[in-house]
Amino acid sequence: MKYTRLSPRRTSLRALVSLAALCALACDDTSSGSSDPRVREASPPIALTDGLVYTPTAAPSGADVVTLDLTVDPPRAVPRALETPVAARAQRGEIGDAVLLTAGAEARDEGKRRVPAVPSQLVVVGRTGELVARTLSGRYGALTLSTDGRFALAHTPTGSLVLQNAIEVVDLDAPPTQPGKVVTLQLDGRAPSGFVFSPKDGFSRRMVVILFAGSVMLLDLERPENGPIAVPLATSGDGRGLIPQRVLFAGERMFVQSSGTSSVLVLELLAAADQRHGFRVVPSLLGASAGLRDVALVGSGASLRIAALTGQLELLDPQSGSSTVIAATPSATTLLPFEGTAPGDPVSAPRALVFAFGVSSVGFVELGGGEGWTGRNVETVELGEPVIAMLPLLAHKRALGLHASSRLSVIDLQARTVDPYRLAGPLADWLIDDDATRTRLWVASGDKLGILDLAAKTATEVPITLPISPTGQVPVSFERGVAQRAVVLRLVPGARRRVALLHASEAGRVTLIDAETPTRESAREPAGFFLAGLFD
Amino acid sequence: MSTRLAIALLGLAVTSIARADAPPPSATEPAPAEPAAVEPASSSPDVTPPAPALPLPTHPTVPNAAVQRRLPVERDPAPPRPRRHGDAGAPFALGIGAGLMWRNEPAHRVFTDRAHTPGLEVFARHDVWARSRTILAAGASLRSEQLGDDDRFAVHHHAVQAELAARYGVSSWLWPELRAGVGVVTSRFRMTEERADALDYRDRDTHVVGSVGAGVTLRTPTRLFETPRGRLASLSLGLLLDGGYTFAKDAKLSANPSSDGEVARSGFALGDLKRGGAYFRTMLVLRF
Repeated sequence: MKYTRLSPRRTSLRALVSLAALCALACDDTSSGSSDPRVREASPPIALTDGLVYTPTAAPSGADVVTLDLTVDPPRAVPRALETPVAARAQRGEIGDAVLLTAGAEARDEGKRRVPAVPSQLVVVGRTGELVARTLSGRYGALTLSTDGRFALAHTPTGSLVLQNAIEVVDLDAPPTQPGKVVTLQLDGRAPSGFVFSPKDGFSRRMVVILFAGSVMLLDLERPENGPIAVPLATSGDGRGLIPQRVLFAGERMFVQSSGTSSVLVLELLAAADQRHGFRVVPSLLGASAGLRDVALVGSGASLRIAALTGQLELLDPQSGSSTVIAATPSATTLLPFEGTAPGDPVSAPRALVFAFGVSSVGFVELGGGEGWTGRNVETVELGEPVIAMLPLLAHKRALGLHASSRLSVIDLQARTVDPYRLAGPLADWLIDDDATRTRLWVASGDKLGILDLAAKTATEVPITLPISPTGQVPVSFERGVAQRAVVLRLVPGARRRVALLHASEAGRVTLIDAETPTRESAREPAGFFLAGLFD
Repeated sequence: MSTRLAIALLGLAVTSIARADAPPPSATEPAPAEPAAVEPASSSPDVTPPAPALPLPTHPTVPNAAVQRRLPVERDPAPPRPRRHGDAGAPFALGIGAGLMWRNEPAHRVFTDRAHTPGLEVFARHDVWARSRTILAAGASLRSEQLGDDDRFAVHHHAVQAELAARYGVSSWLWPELRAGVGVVTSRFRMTEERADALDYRDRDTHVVGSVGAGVTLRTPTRLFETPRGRLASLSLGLLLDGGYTFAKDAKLSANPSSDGEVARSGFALGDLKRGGAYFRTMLVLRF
């Protein structure tokens, strides 16, 4: 008998579907090998006129610089890649171009090919994203600019087999093709602890004072090829224990205040055509009655004096070398000089605010009048809470006293009054915004953004939620007492002044508030600019 | 039925030994009967004695009549079936597998260091025409691909195509083919930040996609899985190796931030991401 075949249409499909579901996939199970493309650290941007310059550490697009052009709406992002990552950055003046220092790279082997070392570059970034690069002679890890932004010092050499005490001076006003000047700081094995530039005006030469423990070095920025001049802080004894803290410039003289001594080192530059540098340095010492806590310049020319806090307020005469106590300030540790009027005295004269961190009162004292006026009264004003930092706003004849609590004291230096403001929380960040008509202080505290009108003495809240996480913490240099300052605000000048609220974001995000009409409706928030051009 | 067959085979062996010289009778003839007794012939010189009766036909293998009654009876063979499209009447095909796409461009290096990216592919086809050994099938396919290993930063491509495939049976197990497809591809970008006040960035781009390719299917022989009752006769499994090229316009994507209504937000263009490229795929094909 032959068996009967069944029709294929009667075949059950259920088993076939199950079979299909069990089919294995030939998937590629190995990892792609690429690193996480998202930004891990967000650094605060540099504010230009109508622009922001970001240097993300690891933008998804691979850009080392992302410039946000705010002249158009919506803003335009320009990502740019550099030869090597950014090692340091600075700004030329308050609203000048951003200057970036790239890290360079060591020589390495790529297969059979030897890739040469890549030196550092100084890259100037403009608002529209244009880059002007200057190649340096070596690799450096730090950058310092003069206050006017003309001179750049690249220092702290990196890499192996390098001279540790070499710096490179670059004139940023010169053509990019002009190379920098490498200067070897021939001292000893110590590294510099700081750089102080002479002002553009008010001093005879463009100098930089390089600070070391126990000594300073003077370098002529316009002729760095002549080399530095080393000057010890002490003429006898072990001067290595002296740490230079402050350098003041007046005319042809520099005044160096150091810790651990009651003397001010005076360095006078005298023209000498027969000298290699074109001048010679004549040092001298101005002695005070006790250890120096703070110093400031008073007057000019023949009436130039050094006001010094030593537990008392003394005036030091650099011409005669004498010291005169003019007021008793036993607790003051900081001196904030200013030119202004006083209650009952409409004539502008040199005066000073004296205070100490951790003390709840501040004092006002007259600095003018010379040594003939001794036993001056220190007028004390109570702030109500101990001061942890003092932010000078001398152009506005004010100072901001910061406290540990949610409180801010606005001190009127001329009226000698205090306006206390209660904030939403501890002060995180602030900025001064002034135009021809008014001066305002923007304060970020807690989750609120407020505006203080210093003249009208009013406070208003901007109805925009502050970023939860700031873009970073920066050390506050002048406002001694505050260790870190959360960077939340940036003032963006331009045709339309805006205040930028900075967000720590992997993709790039900033909230732009119109400074004239700070409302939610007028605000704009470009987001994702670190991703711009990701596929290009 | 199998038991009966076994018994029949056993009887065949025994009979073969007992009747080694006897010619086997026809299987269709009835079993021989017992020979009848033969009367002696009469004295009349005119009466012809009757011929002895022929023995009754018996089953060629089993002499026992009782067993013979239980044996199956052969019938006439069934008429031939009408021919159908496809092989053993198997017009449907389902395929599932994985493929690699090559796109050598800088944009993809954002997501991977390799020049190729994997993807999941499925298709369904039905034979629509056949002549001799050439068969034409129509169907649809779906390809799904992800650029980037992290779901929080990735681009997904999904392509749906209608396709035609022409295959030729070199043998029952070797079927080369040509295919062409056209459809739609959608690309989705997504990035999610890891922060408390994080934003989502998304975008989508859809465009026409087309592809051409050539391949070969190695499949199991016809009726390999057929059961004794005739089930699964048309089922076959195959391995399709296929390569070709996909044509698609580059995806224009942007990082569009999510909006919570507080402040007007604006995003930024990511640029053009290539979607077309050469491909190679390995598919498990189920035909039934």
